[in-house]
Amino acid sequence: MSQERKYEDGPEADLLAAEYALGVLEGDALSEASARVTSDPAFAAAVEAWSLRLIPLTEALAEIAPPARIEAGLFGAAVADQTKESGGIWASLSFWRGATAALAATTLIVVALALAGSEPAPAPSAPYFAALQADATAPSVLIRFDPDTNRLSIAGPLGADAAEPAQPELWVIPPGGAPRSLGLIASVDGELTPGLDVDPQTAAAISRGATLAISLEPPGGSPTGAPTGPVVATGAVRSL
Amino acid sequence: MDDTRVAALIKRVSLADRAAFSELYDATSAKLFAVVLRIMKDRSEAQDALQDCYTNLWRRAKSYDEQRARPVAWLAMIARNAAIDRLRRRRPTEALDPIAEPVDDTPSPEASAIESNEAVRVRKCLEGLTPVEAGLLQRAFYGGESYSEVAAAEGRPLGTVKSVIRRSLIKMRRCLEP
Repeated sequence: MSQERKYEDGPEADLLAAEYALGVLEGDALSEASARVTSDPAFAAAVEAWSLRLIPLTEALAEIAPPARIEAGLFGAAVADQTKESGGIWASLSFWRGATAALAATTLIVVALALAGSEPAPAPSAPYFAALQADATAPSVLIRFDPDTNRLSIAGPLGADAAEPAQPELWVIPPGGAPRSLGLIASVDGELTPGLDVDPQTAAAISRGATLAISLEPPGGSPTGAPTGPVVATGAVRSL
Repeated sequence: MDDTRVAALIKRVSLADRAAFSELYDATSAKLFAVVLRIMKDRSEAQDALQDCYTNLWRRAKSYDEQRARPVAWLAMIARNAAIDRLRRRRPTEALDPIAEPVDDTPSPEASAIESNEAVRVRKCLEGLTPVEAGLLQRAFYGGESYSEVAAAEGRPLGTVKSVIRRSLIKMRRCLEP
């Protein structure tokens, strides 16, 4: 069987498609099949049919859960890939990692934050919440602010991306007022800052009716004291 | 795995729905990891292949056609292709393991209970092959090896390996024809 054969249509072509789908071809036969896959739709269909024909064998394999960290790496890669292909606001958000998982997690985080806020304490002030999004369908960055301690907690799909030399900065915008910085909410390499202490003067601006916003700023934060980069997510401040 | 649900998720992924992508991952990653691990045999390489697989899925979800393939079969095909692509890329620099792994694809009791009709048919057809044909076909299917690599690994003449695998493919085609 070492002689070269020329595959025409019919059973021989189908056999070539099968060998190609199986992955056993080499040399001239492989070149012929590779070329034909792109030039001959019928041949390409035969290859696909063969690729699917033996696949049910894999049903016998017992499921094995992959390590959890794959998911994070994976969504980072897929999201980054997507941003190359499409424009829109998310295109500037390649540092916005784990975005999909966050949607599913949103409810849980809201519940967790609400529970955390209901811990018994002497006459606590009601905490404020905000869910910051790029648009109604985008995942949320969840913020909880405790007016008793002026402590701000952040949870959400921020992650690392060395390719993007920008830092997300959080702002509070009082109704009719100018944005005031609450601080950087991730390190330069994208690690989310889980909490920020807000100075009392700025803290007073966080109340119902105010807006929180995240902008992308140069490393170290906005050089001017006002947002300079694109605003990537906003949300209204609410109390429960 | 529920075909209708998985097909709906693939459809939503084709519209760049990240939540659906996450759900699809949760529903299918253990199955697809088993497929890539079976091919790569190395856990860490299998993880890379799984990542390739889902990246490809994200890109290629648009091309999924429910008329042509069951969703789970289509996903497994993408997983197998991702794993085999990786094997090929590493092959030139690495010697092949000359020791053939014993093939044990006897379905576990749970797996046979949920096996699809297609899987039952393929397995029946496989049983119609001689043990050598079935062994070489499965080795090629999971190995991503070329004819000469299979021949070298099995210690058999190239011509024999070619004709055995071709014969098994022809038999499978005849057996699986509707």
